[in-house]
Amino acid sequence: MGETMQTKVWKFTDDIDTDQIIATQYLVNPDINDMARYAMEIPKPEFASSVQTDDIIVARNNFGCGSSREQAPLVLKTLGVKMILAVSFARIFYRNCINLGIRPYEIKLSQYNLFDDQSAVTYDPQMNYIGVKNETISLNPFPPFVESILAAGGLIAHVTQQFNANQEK
Amino acid sequence: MSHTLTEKILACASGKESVSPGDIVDVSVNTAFIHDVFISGVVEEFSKLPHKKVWHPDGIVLIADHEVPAVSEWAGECYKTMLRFAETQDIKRIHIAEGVCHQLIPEKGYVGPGMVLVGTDSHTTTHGALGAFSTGIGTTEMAAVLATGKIWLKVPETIHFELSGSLSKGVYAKDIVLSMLQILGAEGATYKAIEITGNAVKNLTMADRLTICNMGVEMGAKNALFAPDDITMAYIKSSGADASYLVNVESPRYSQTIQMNLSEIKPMLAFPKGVDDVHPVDEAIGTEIHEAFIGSCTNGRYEDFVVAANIIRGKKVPGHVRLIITPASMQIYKRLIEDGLAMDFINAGAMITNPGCGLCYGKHGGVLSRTDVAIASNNRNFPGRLGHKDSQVYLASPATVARSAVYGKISAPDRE
Repeated sequence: MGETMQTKVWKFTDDIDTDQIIATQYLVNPDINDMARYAMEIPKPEFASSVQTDDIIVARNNFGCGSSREQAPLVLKTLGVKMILAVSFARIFYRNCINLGIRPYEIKLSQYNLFDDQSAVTYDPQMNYIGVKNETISLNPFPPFVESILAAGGLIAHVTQQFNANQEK
Repeated sequence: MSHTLTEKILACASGKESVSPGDIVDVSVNTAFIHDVFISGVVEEFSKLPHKKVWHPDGIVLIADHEVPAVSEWAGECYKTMLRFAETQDIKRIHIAEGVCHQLIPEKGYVGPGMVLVGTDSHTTTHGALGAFSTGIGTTEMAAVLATGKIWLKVPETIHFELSGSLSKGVYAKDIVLSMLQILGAEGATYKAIEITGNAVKNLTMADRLTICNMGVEMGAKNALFAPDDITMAYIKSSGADASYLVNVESPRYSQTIQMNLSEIKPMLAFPKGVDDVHPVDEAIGTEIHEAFIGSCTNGRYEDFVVAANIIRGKKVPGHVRLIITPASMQIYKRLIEDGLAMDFINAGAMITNPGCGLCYGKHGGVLSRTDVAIASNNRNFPGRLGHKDSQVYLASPATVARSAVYGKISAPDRE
């Protein structure tokens, strides 16, 4: 940890809804790895087969709008996405990300415009910033309560930790 | 200090004197519901937790509505998972194929004013119609609620719609909420609450309010609500809901107030591929349609079918149009039969399906083909929502759908 890492950008526009992230017809698939092969099939058909672990998604407004399906962030997590930057998120999707341990960061439109699809950017997890085209984007830290869920690796791990802590009292 | 209804409810539910927008609070939940699509995921996540029992069996509602009758070999397993979970956890409130969750919950008295509701469905905003705080959550989050009875929430700012005037002939609650979408857009209320007040509210029935709150989520809202009044109290008197969480507010301070004069609202449509691409019906008159759908948690209530039947009665739907009628609950279905409305629809050439979410989430019961154009009373028309990604869906009030079905092309409801 603490080292700057290089990662690739997958850029999306406005209103990428959960049907586009993973379409209804694939939700019945009991195997999440198999389901993930169809992620972003409508907006970016090559995404699921080409995305690499730690690649980041950069989107404009209202990313993840639509249904409450948790499979939407889950297929992205399954494909190795750990961080999503968007000008704005739909709120259920935003919460689902946190509860699954994915970091959803809000950025400004001017910052969104700096990114090119498929370009390489640097990420410094310690300093919490992204380097793109000689510019540095500082990511806003989460409130401590939310950070504690993310640090635990998601809500299930967090609630389990709390339960166990109460048992020891 | 003058808090909004949302702030007041969240303060009470988190045991605080007062809360302000931006505060993160740990809130006690009154009712948590799960539907068939997500039951397996919730039960699986719950099994990972050390809590062996749910926090309060009577606070939990299980509803199979999306996959009924079974649309895949998977669906039957979902019902069984639901039945097993109900039995092992002593959950009495379980309903399989009795109706759509957002109709059953108010109808069965599982929501009362001032309560906090969470559900694994984005349209959970619907229940704000009864003056509750109600919002949709994911499966992992639901597992944590089942275990602890609590959820963390960020207190939202409130956008206020103040309604005045009265609706013209042919204009309905759906046209009000489509007009709100035209103003705010699909993300205009993201992370925010929507509260609807004004002297026109007393003329809105509970069915109208449910329609409006249902589509609050289409504006990105966390919740949408009406303050409880005589209409609310009359409704919960018949549903038998708990009224003990009732809170009242006086002259709240909102982050934004939008005035709407209902007499200026026209029949509206959300054009294909965008819930917020809203235009007056006049702009699409004459567009040929192949399917007309009246149903869903937005507009599948008895009142909606009365309006539609009054337009359709004695007429025939043209041969190229499939008219699909989907009552939102078995109780509504029975009333349609008892009152003769079902025969009006059948004689006009309609298909009446069982209560459920099938078509509205593109799974069964009228799925659209590539070249289909539909007019529908539901809440979403994203690409592929009701079938093929190239199909076109116009969202409208039941009256506009009914009139369009009769003519085989998009038609305004307020003229012959």
